[in-house]
Amino acid sequence: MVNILFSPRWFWGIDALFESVAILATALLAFYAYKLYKFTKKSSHKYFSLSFLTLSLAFLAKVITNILLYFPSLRKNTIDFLLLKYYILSNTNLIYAAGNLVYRFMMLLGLLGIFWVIGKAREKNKLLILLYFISAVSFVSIFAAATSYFILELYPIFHITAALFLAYISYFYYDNFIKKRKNTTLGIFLSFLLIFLSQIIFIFVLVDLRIYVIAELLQLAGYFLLLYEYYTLTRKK
Amino acid sequence: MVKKRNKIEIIQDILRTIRDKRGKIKQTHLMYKVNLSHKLMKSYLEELIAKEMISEIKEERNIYILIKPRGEEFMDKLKKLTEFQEAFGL
Repeated sequence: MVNILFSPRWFWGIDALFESVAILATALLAFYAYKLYKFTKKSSHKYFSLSFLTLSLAFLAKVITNILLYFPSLRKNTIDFLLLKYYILSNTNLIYAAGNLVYRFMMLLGLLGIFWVIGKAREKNKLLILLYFISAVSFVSIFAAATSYFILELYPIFHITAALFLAYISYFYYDNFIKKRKNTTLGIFLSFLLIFLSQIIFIFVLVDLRIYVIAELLQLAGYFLLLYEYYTLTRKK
Repeated sequence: MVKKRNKIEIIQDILRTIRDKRGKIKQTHLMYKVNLSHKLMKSYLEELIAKEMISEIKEERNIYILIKPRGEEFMDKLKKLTEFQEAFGL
């Protein structure tokens, strides 16, 4: 079993810290949206909360998987291949592929949930088709990364799919900002725009390892802004 | 077409109307200002009284509704929930 890490060695662990901000921001938003649901009993509020909870769990899965990948694997034989570092892992390390699969599937599921709620979609058969596609994308991108160099070109498919969802979400929040003209709506739009841009940059991570750092920084800025907007909206006035 | 208010908006309207009248309003005036039927108004008032957000007093032949500190706190909480809802376009 072969697995690939796209992060430069000096950045190992730092990305986990960055993603902790995403875990916190999405978990707090899930909690607050749940409070809103408890009051309004609107199913859209429940799904909005569940979507953010799914994103939070996705980042948690990524952090755990990366920590497991970075640190115990340091003791294993390594082979440098072009710009990528390949780590030969035993069959017992299937957990790593499973961890990434959980991360990717849950990330896309969370984004699909937000897309579904804000798009006020109603047709459940279309949701099933989209669920099928995000499952397929998660599997394809994981096996592209975990099986052979020759299908690495398929690896960015996950980031392209995430970017497509985020493009719609960002446009929705841009429209929401134009309609309401408030600082919070601007902040929410900018945070999703930054997260969208980070996914675009993640697509090119195969070109240079430093690109991963830039994408992580953009993603951190996006979730940090989202956390700040959460604080602004919920603080005592 | 006038948009139908949800529960959160109706409770907000009830509490805001009482507060705007310095915390005390005649039940009949409240019903007209909030634009609810007698039956609906009664059910909302019962719920808010049970939750100790408002109280009811009788003065002469009139019934007055008073906002309680818990009602004021709840209004602030509702304001934040509404702002959250609006900011996230829900």
